[in-house]
Amino acid sequence: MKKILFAFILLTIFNNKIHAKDEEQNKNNNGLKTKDYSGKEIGNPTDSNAISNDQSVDQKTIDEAMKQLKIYQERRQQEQKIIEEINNED
Amino acid sequence: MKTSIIFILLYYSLSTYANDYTVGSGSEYKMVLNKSNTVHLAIYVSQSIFEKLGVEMYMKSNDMLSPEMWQQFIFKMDVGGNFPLKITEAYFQTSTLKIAERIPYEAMIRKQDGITLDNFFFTKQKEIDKDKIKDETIEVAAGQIKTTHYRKKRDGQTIDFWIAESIKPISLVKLVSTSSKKDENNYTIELTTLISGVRPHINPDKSAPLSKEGADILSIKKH
Repeated sequence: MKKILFAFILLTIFNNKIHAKDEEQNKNNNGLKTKDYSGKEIGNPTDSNAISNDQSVDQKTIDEAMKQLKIYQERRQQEQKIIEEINNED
Repeated sequence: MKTSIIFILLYYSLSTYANDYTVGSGSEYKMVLNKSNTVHLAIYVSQSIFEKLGVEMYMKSNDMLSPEMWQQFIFKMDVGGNFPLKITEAYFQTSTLKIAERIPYEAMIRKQDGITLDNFFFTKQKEIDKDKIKDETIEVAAGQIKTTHYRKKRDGQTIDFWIAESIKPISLVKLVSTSSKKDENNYTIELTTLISGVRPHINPDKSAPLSKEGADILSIKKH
């Protein structure tokens, strides 16, 4: 479970980086904002193998993912504690 | 994230106007749930072959622990029939699921509180016009747009929505849902940009039946 979550966090950060680089907003003739994805997906642009083979995820990104994972775990522990307390009261 | 919300958007916007559906074209929206949780929402055409129309939707919350989600719906178009569009297939995938899974028909049509898909089954123009408030020019993140304002009410939920034929192919410009009964029915959706050239994420030919994990994600019972 932890592995899956960690992979997901990394994937999310990685995707955000890619899209920040690739997507530029323009305006069309009606004055409305438009964006051309040029044949790319929105969100996950690669498969999981490509992500695992990629070496560009730096230490800072991993540290941030670990931080988020810790927050998530603490939140789950607190929730579990509350549930146990409620069950004990019952 | 609620599947029912999206059904509403798709059905309404696609059944109201007969457009040309260019694969990869669509709209991106900013969706705000309960005034705090922001969702990046994109809706675009995934396939358009004869009477079959595929529409894919991408959602990602600002909460990093929520998975990204893709949903794809296949509509059968019945030009001149009583119901111009009928959903025949539905698929979904999240970043935690390896492959896309099929959403069972019973899950698509399940009864829910408030305004649901069947409230948007219009067959005649005068049925749509019943909900019309007025023509309005509104300012959204994408720019200033001439729209028609509609309103629907049911079970304590009110949905105000603004539609523009010029916003092809999805048509929806803005939607505001309010409810005193259910917190999850308080949300807004606003057009941020028109999009083109999007490659669909889900390939229906490589999908699997609904798994237990998938059923849990969609909060539906697996038979």
